[in-house]
Amino acid sequence: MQLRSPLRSPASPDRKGLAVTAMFVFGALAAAFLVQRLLVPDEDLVPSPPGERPALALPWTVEDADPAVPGSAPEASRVATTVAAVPAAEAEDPGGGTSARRPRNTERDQYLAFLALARSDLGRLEGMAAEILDGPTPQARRMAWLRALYDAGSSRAPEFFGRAIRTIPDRGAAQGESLPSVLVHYLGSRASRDPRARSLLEETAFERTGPQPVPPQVRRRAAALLAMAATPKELAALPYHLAREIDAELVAGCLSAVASNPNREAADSVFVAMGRTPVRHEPVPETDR
Amino acid sequence: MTSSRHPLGSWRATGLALAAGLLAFVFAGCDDDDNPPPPPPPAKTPPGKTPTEVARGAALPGIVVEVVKLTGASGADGTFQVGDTISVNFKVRKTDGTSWNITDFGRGRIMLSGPTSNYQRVIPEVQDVPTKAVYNADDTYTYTFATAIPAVYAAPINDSSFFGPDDGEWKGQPLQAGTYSIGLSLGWDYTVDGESFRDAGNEVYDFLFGGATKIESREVVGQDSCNQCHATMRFHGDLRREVTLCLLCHTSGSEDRNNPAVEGGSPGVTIDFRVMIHKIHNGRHLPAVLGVATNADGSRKYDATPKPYKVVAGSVHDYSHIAFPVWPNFNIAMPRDAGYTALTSAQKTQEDTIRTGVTSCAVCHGDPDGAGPIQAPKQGALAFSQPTRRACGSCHDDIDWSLPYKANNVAMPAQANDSACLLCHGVVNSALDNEKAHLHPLLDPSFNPGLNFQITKLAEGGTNNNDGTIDPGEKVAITMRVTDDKGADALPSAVASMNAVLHGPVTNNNVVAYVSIPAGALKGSQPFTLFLPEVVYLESPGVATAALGDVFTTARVPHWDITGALTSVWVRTATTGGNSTLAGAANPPANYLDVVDATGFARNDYVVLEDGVAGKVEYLQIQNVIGNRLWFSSPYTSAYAPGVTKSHAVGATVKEVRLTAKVKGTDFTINAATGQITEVTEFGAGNAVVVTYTTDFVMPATYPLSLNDGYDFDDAVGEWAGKPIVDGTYSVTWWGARTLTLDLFGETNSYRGTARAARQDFLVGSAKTLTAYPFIADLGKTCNACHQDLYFHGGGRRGYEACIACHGTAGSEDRPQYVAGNAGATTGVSVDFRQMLHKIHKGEELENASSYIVNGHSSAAFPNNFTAYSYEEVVFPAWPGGVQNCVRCHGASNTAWYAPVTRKHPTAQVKPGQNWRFVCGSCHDGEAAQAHIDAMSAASGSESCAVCHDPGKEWNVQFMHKQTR
Repeated sequence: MQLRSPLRSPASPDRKGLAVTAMFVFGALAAAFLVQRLLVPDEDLVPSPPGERPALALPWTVEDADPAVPGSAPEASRVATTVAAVPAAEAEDPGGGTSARRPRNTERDQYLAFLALARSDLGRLEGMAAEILDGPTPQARRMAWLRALYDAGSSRAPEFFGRAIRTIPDRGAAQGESLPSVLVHYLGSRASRDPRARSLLEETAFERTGPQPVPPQVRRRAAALLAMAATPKELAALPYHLAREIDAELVAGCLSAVASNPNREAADSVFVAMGRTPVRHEPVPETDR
Repeated sequence: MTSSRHPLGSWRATGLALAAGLLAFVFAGCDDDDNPPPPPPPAKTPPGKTPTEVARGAALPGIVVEVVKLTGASGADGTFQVGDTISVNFKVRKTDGTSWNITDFGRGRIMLSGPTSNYQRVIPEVQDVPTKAVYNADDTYTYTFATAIPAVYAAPINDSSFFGPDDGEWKGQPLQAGTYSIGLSLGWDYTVDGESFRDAGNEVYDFLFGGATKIESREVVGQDSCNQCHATMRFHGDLRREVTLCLLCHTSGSEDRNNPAVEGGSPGVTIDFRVMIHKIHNGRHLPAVLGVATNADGSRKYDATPKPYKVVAGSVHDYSHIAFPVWPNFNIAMPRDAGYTALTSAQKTQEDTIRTGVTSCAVCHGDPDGAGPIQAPKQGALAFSQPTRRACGSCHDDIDWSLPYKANNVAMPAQANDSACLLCHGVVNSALDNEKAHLHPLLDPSFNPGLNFQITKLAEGGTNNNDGTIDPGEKVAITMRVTDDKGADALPSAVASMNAVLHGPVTNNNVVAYVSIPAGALKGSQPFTLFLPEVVYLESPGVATAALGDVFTTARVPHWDITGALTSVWVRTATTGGNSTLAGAANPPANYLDVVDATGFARNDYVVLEDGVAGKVEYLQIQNVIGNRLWFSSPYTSAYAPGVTKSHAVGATVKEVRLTAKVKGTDFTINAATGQITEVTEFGAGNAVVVTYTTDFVMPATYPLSLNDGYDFDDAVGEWAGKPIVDGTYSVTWWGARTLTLDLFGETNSYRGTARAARQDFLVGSAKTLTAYPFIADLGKTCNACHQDLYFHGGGRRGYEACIACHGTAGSEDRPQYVAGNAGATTGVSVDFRQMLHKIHKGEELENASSYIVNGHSSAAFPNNFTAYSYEEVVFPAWPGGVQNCVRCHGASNTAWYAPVTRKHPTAQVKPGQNWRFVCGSCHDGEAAQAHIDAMSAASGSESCAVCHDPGKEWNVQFMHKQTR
């Protein structure tokens, strides 16, 4: 196939010299362009594809920020990910709807970052305690950090939970409930299946040797949540705690919760040990309320 | 980072092309002028490049990929054969019909998989489409695969030895005749205000291979099925959008990364679509996630180590918290298995969670509601007729196929392959029938005949002016039919419970009445006519004398005095316990009293205010004492009087009294029509008589307290408690349920066959025209796009109308501490959908996700009679933008979300409106956003938000939420 330059149209023979000059100029530019392109790796020339964000300052210095669910995950694996290189087609992360997803100050994003850090360096995560718990740290970040510790199985999680519950004021804000209240809710929602959660609830409700007391309302709620979910063995320990308890509302609320515990015989034993008549609260479907 | 090429990454090739062009120019320049020029070649100039910077809010060009034809088939019958090299001729158009330049696409990938009956990879995906596709004179492109069709199937993605032929993996086996698919993906990267995004076009093209004669496209799930929740599916960096494309990689035997360094190598985690999608959508309910497995004898093992459902890709994806948001399964469990009653509480919890897992197969594999517009996928029935260990075991992942499996008194032997599945599970209408076994009892008309209320007329009653509107002082007469789902009249005896809410005006709903209606109110034959009821609490119609036969007449008539609404009579027999005075004035409709000293007052105590002061005496029952505040109730907790009905000044006396209940027939008789209570047994001279009774509701002159009113809100957000009733459109919303019991496998299951709420609009005062609810379009059809139906509050409320009746009212709050003593304070938490629904659906994307806690119902006893809900695991599934995609819920035709409406009371507004804070702050909950709201609000509370965010302003809401994606 033969190509003709439009500059060599028979209708414009007087433009031949101009065309030759233009070709030389074009050739020089093209050569320079080629040299530049062939010497520089592709990656340096391209803008970061969506989702391949640069590492940011903490919490985003955790470079393996880790999308977990659809709707959030950038495509590519992060810098410093522990995942081995695989063929490109297999290397994509499955996250959906992600082009513009940037890490933000949400609890979730921080939680994922902390969790990733926990996987790689749990000690470093635990070492952030002073910064997180004692500094002027937003609640979302505190909660994210505590959740990550708990979910990562940190043996120091109970210590940090207790510290947060005791030292951070039990005051809600426009952004939500107080941190102690949220933590007790967090533990309560896991209590039926997680002995660690029940142990922490027990400590929150009844351990009074710490430097600062647990707020009364938080203690009451922790005691009730424990009583509802306690195993027979744990129920057997309740009378010991309740007999020494000076907060009558806590005792009443706790016994009321014991009445809802599905381990019926063990629950009855709590009342007997307390010198009371066993009460059983049958869960009933809600009707109109 | 992937090794895929970015558009600019192909500059190397572009440079080579330029060099070639330059050489051509040089040779052309040496041509001899005297030779006649050849005829001009046909135009083959590719389209120009498309700018990659897109203005915020601008429409994208769109990418429509269409494969025109395949060439290269060598079969005599026109089908492709092993060894053929496929050339794919395709078009890439913009929405306006113009063509794309193929080099605009930073990602251009193509693959071949098949057969459609059991996809395997044949030619794994290659990524060179933008650089290898040739532009044609007819404005199409042709891409030719570098490799010919191989003789055997390629390995699935991330293959290991874990899966094999029994799992449907055919690696290395000869290609079978059938329908095969080409998958083509093109991705265009662009920026909006410096942020990078990607638009994409996908095409899957089916063709015949190996002598097959009929195209059989795979369609067990339709794109519309996925998009009903996901809006537009976007995976893998937004490049993959068509479910048909997903299938080409997520083939049988495909696995996640299998990286030994991550999650122990995640052995046995397949990304086979028929497994992975089931598992993802059922994540929270998977037996393996919950620690349920199978013992060697086939029985359940409840103490297995929980296995979170994690898929390792570039990172670890844990889907163990994902719940499928479709009712009734979402919170109403399937029937119990045999032996449930004997389980421990922890085991029951595991079972209960499993039983609320996905069984609504038709939502993805059929027409979800049977009424369109979504069409059932052509092969949707395969979900039931083609059971496999993979598909079924994806949700039933407690099954170990090498062991027997016992359930409901039947034992399934170990299954080495899928050959025997249909022997039991294909027997129609048997207990093991796949389709029947997944049918929720509430959706089974043979069990749940359905219940429907239809209000046919709502009119003014009692003393009224007959002007066609309801005015303060008038009764509300309702005529209604009660039917089953077939339209047949239902007997009143079938109705176990009924409730109604009167609320309005529609532009700023406030609750006016919240009532329970006993089934006995449905008298006579259909249609039933009755007045809306109202409870009068602790009225004292007089004091007993020494003479027997005292008659006391209540202020309101008639008394309903039927089962569920009986008149209660007490006699005040002592003054005891608490005794104090008011520390602050109490004016209706206040639901608390601040006393100087609350010592001696306790929950459930009765108190009398201003004892002996004519016109001021009133009796109340304390619901809770918090500090020196005696709390009563709100319209929502009807066991207690909401609050004071008379004004009481500081210093007024508050005394605890003992009320002794009297027995009807023994102690007194009632004339329900006249409201006369006649003493039969001496009440005791000087003892006050106190009566609680149900009578006909009368439209009040002022609004009562909001639901669960705890004074977190006021007229700044439209709560009008205590203010005059405003003319306008009001509604009565009515719901009810029948009780259903299912005895199955030796277990008893209780359900509520709940009617979708019926709503009847009417006019109040001088209003002339009915106004539609303006905030959500299409009566909640947008809710059902994902939820299919709505059941809340133990299944006792069903449908959008039931939700709006309460959650559409201003100032409504979650369960307060005066109802549930151990509940958290939840200050500032409203259950008004303007706040709550935004927050719930933003869920995990809230900046303070875990800290948003809402206290709701519970069947536990006081003070633990609440359930604290948090939503940090809620994922809004619509792409792109999640909850930023406002029209997903408000509806495409609705504009209410453009700006919060003004909700000022026309005659009694006190505070400036703070509706921007209330609504916008529900999603924008972070410290910076809240600081911005604070900064843009005056000390008085006045908001300046509209200056920038009103429609037409620079940062208007519509513009800021618009998806340039």
